Amino acid sequence: MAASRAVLALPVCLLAGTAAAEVAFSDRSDALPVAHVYSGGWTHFVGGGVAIFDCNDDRLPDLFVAGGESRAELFVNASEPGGDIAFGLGEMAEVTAVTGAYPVDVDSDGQLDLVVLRNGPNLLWRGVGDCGFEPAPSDWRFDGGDEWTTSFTAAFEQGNAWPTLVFGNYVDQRDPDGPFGTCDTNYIFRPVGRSFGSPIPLEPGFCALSMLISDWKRTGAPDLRISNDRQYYVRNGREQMWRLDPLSEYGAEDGWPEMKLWGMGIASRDLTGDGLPEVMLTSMGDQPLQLNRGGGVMENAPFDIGTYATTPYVGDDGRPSTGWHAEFDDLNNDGLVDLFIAKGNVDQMPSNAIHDPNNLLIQQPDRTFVELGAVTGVGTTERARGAGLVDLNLDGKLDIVVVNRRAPMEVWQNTTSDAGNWLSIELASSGVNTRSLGAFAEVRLPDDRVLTQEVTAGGGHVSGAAGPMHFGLGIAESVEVRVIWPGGETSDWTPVAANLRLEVSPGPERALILEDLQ
Amino acid sequence: MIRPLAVALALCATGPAAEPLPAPLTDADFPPVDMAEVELGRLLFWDAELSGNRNISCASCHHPRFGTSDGLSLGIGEGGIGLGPDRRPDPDNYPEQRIPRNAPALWNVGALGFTVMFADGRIEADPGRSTGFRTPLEDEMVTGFDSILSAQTMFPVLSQDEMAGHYAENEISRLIRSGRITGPDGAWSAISARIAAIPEYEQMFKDVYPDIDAGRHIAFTDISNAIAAYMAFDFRSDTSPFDAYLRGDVQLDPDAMEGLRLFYGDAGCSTCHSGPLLTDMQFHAMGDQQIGPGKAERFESHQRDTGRQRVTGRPEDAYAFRTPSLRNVTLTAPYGHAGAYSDLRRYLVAHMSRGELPEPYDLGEAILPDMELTDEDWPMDGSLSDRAGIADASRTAPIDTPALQDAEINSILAFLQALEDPQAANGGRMGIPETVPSGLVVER
Repeated sequence: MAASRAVLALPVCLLAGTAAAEVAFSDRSDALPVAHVYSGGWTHFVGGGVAIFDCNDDRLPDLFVAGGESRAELFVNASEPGGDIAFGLGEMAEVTAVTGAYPVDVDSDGQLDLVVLRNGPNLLWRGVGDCGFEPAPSDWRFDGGDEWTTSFTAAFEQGNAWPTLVFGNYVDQRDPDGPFGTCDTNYIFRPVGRSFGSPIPLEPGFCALSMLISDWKRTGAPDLRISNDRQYYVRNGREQMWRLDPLSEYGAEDGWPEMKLWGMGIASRDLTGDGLPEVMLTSMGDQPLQLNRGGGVMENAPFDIGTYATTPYVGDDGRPSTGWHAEFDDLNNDGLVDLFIAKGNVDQMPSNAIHDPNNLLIQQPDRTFVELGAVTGVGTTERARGAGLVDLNLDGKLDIVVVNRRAPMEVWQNTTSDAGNWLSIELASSGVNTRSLGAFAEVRLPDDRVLTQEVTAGGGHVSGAAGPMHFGLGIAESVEVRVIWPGGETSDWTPVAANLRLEVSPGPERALILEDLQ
Repeated sequence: MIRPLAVALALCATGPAAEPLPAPLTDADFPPVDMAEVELGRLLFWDAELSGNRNISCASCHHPRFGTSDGLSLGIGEGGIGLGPDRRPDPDNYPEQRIPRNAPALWNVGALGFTVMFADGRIEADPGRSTGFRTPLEDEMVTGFDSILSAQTMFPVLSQDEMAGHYAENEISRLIRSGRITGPDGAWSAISARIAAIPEYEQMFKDVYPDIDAGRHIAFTDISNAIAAYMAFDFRSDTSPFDAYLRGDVQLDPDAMEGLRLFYGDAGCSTCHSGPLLTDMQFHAMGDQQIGPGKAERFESHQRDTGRQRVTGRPEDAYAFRTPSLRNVTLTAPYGHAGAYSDLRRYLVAHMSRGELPEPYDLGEAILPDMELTDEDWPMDGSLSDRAGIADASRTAPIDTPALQDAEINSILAFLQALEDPQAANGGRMGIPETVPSGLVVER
């Protein structure tokens, strides 16, 4: 190790060379079998999520998309690996009032189940294979409630066979004094054996539009972050962090600063290389990025980092932006994590830009981000809500899906011609927690830089994926991989070649079992 | 860029002005008048029924006693009581902040040449757009308004700080804060329903608009069309000494004539204050002093007012504001987009210096109601209001403002006095209505 540190500067220079990779996308929205719109009036001003997961075991990510007043749709991925993106229409029970959805393997049968969030009773669908779903058996004791649910996160708490589910609710529509200052209660569902116990209220609720359980301090004790919409809590509310065990909200005594946002989405990823996830919180105007300084201290990133994306960067409108789903990932495989932010006016808010382009912020070798939404075409100006970055056609490059309110959903195929090397890693465990929620995967590059990703369920704007982690590797031909499994067991560094699609499971004595999926 | 060194101008008492004078205003510069519509619009203009809390009418901040403005640097809309310089916060409904810009005067806003509304032009004729105009709602904007002025009239009712009231106070502010503006469940429909529920208004709308008589519901565009018709008529002002001079009826006194020559000559005023309305309807960064909360939404933590840039997003539009019409300027104090100067001479000196007077700005130049505020009116930390940005924008603007001697300033002020229309000084053409159909108080 000591020897390799001496040449640290060299790979960084080479990396700068690959950063010139001109990220490019082509509009493949017409690959969807129907033009899908997230629709509805005020009761669907927020929401519009997409769940991204493989529901038929062909390794191709499929899409379950909220429809608001319209029916939700299931788009089954029919792409040829390496070819153009293609989708067929999945068969599914008609369900409306869906705001978003997240895939989770609840019963650890290896098949992803689907948590369907609604303005109305939520649904838990058990995945039965071949993109079929059936309502959760009654002995799961799932209580869908009847709130306006707009956020979700899940985690496997230590010792539990089933996940803990957290549901975040928006305005209490039954309160005659609403909608302002009448945010509904959030609920946490803890398992009792192989079923769920009574929902535990998480009070006070402040109109949660995103929540994420993450081990943000890397202590092994993950916390629950909730991003809340000041539009409706107005005054007496804040961004929240909850300890899970014992269940209690962080306060000033924990050094948790009072922060008020028009919070709509959470993105979490280590950008600085210290293994601690930075946090992006979408809002109105400035889109704050907080750098994780360790020990529970989050610090606002310097403004010139280029991610604040305060106002539209194209068009003829200088009013503040409205941010929704945000997601970090490496879109040109240069080893530097990029950022996508879905943007769009709430509906008719004259205070904010009406034609508000999505952001495609590409990280540069100097660690600033440059807006490429306009040149790539990805920066469309519809009322975007949910989104996802996912390799739909298994060509080693992440594509983009965007759900729009009052406009058709978009699919953008990554056509970057000189993208760097990559690695796709899907963690698999037998027994409980088949998707290894709570694990950290680390990839060490030849220059000793370590790329870290946490396996989470939640965040974004009512959108989430359960699938492989994508690592851009730049010019590296081979790297080392290590996994910190749920519970803290850390594997050895394991050499792997670039450009592989691997399923990684725990082996004996800190080894990793690697299965090449190609 | 460096501006040319200021040079003292030689006094030039004789000879023609360098720039041609505008043609006099005529009936052709104004929309045709339907007096029944004007009468309806007059009642609506003076009626607080249009405000969320039924406590503010258009006239609260655009009053003929104060030159169709409010006599304040920065006014109080919602949460204010009293009129003009007497306006103060209502202790039982305390306003959240001052209105960020000076209430514009309404003289000749109905003229066909008045194509840019508000100091930032967020409502304007725009041939580059398929609709032919820009509004804050862009393609969400409803149809049915007769003019840019009518479109403008549709927006103060949506402002929580101006007329709508705050989020929890009434059914209209709740709709607006929720982002529901157009359509049958939107704020405009809710205001229209209030008006339609008053029989006297209902009858007047039927009398004025045949299709309402035939059964169509009153839309907010009908309300705004009537108010626009009223403003175009009552606040038409083209009988000043300057108008008489343009028509060849009278001579101006020698001081005013000298001011006119400077205005249309070496002082360069008419470069921007051009045409019969004395405005080019364009945007210029003049280093105008900013005070108050700035144009910042509740989710923003600054006090900047970047003017036109906030509308277009173009960096080159930073701190540029629309050239105001100077008609009846002697009646419309205070001056500047933030009303930083209550004295016209002081404003003119500051204007010609592009905001770079040798002495620091003193908030005593403004007229501000006493208010308990979370933000200072004139934050000493210039970063919140970006004084450097204002100065940079002004220095790079392609406009020269020569230094003027006191005597020249006096002459220009004499010319500006000649722009005062006796009819306007008298409060317009129609005067204040005795009562309004809602029965709410008429502010006199």
